Amino acid sequence: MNFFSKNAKFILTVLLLIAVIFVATRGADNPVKGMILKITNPFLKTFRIFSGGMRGAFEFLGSIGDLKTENENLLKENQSLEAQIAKLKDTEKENELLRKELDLVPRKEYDLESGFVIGQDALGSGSVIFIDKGSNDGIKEGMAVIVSNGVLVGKTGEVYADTSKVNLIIDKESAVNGEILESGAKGIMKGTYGLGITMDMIGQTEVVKEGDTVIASGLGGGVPRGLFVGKIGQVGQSEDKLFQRATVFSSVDFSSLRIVFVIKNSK
Amino acid sequence: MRKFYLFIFILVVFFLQYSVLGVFFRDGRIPNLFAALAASLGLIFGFKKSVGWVVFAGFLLDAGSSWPVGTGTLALVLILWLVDKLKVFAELRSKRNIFIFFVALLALASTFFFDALLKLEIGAAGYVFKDAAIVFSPTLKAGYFWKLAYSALAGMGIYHFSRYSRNRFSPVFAPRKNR
Repeated sequence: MNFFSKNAKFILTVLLLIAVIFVATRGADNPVKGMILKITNPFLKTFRIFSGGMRGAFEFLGSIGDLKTENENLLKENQSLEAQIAKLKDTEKENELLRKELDLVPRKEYDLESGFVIGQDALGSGSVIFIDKGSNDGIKEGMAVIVSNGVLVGKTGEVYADTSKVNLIIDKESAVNGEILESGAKGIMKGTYGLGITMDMIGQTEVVKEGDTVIASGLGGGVPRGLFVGKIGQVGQSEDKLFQRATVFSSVDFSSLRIVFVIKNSK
Repeated sequence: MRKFYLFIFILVVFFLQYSVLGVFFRDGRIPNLFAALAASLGLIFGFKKSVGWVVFAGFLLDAGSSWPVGTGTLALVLILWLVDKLKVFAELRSKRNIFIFFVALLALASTFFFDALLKLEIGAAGYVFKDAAIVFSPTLKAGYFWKLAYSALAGMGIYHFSRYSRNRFSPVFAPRKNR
C-alpha cells in the first residue's frame, strides 16, 4: 500500500500510457504522428540540409592531404574511362535490345515524384528514412523508391499528408521480388539488419554467379519490373539447404541518401 | 523561462535524433539521445517534476517511429522512474570526475535498458494485436556497442545542457535576495 501511495503519479502515468498503446490507432492513421510530422517537417528539412553541408565541409577538410594522390588517380581513371566510353556506345545499343526483349519499363516512362530525405528512424537502424512528400503529392503506401540513376532503394511505408516513411531495401523486414538478369533466376530480396541485401529462395537448379545483375522482377506489384538493385556477391545455401542464397551488393550508399524519387505509376 | 528552455531543448534533441545524427553516424550507431535525456532529467529534477517533459519527449520519439504510439514513451518513463530511485548518483555530485563517469555510464545503461524495454513492449503489442509487422530487433553486433559508447558520450552533453536550464535561469529570474 505504501508503494502505491508513494508512486501514485508513476503508476497513473504507466497505466495511461499502456491505455494509449492499446487504444491509439496505429500507422499513418494516427493523428498525433501525422500532426507532429506536419509541424516539424520544415525544421527537419532545414536541419538535414545544414548537417549535410557540415558533413561535406568536414569531409573536404579531411581530404585536403589526399588531393594530390587523388588527382593522379583521377588522371589515370580518366584515360581508362575514355576507353570505356567507346565500349559503352556498343553496349547501349545492346541494352536497348535487351530492354525490349525483357519487357522492362524504360526509366523515362515512370511518373516520378522527387523527395528530399529529411530524417531517419530514431534509433538509427538505417532501414527507414523520411521524405518531405506525402499523400498531398499523390504518394501511396507500397510505391517503389529509386535514386536518380534508377537504382531501387526501397518502398514507401506509412504515408502522411506531407511526409512519408520509406522502408529501405536493406531493412530486414522488407521483401522485394528479384530476378537475376543473366539467368532469369527468381528469388526474394531481404535486408540484413540494415547492413546489406540478401537474395533468398533461389532454386537449386538455377545458375547464379558472382557479378550477375539483380533487378526487380515486378512480381507482387508496387515495384515495376526492371529496376536495378545490385550485383551478386557471395553465393551459398539457405539454412535448410533447399534453396540458394546470395548476397547482393548495391551501388547505393544508403546512409547518405539526399534526394530520392517515388514511382507513382508507369505512364 | 526554464520551461521554455526545456521545451526548445527537447525539440532540438528531436531534430538531432531524427535529422542530424544520421548524417554523421553510420547505420546502427546513432546514439539514443532520448534515453540520455530521460536519465538526465531524472537526475536533475526527479520523477515528479520531469515526468511531463519526458512524456512530451516520448511522444515526439514515437511520432517518427514504426512502433505503436506510447511504447517509446513508456520506456522513457520507466527509465526516469528508475533513475529517480538511484539516489546514489545525487550523492556523487560533489566528486566531479566520478560523477561525470557515472553520468556517462547511466546514459549507456539507459540506452541498453530502453532497447530491452522497447523489445518487450513491442513483442507484447505484436502478440496482442496479432500483427507480425510490429517488430523491433536491435542487433547485438559491433555497431550496437558503438551505439552504446556514443550514447554514453552524448549523455554527458545532454546532462550538461539539461542542467543548464536549472543553473542558468534560476538565479537570474529569482528574487534578488535569493541570488
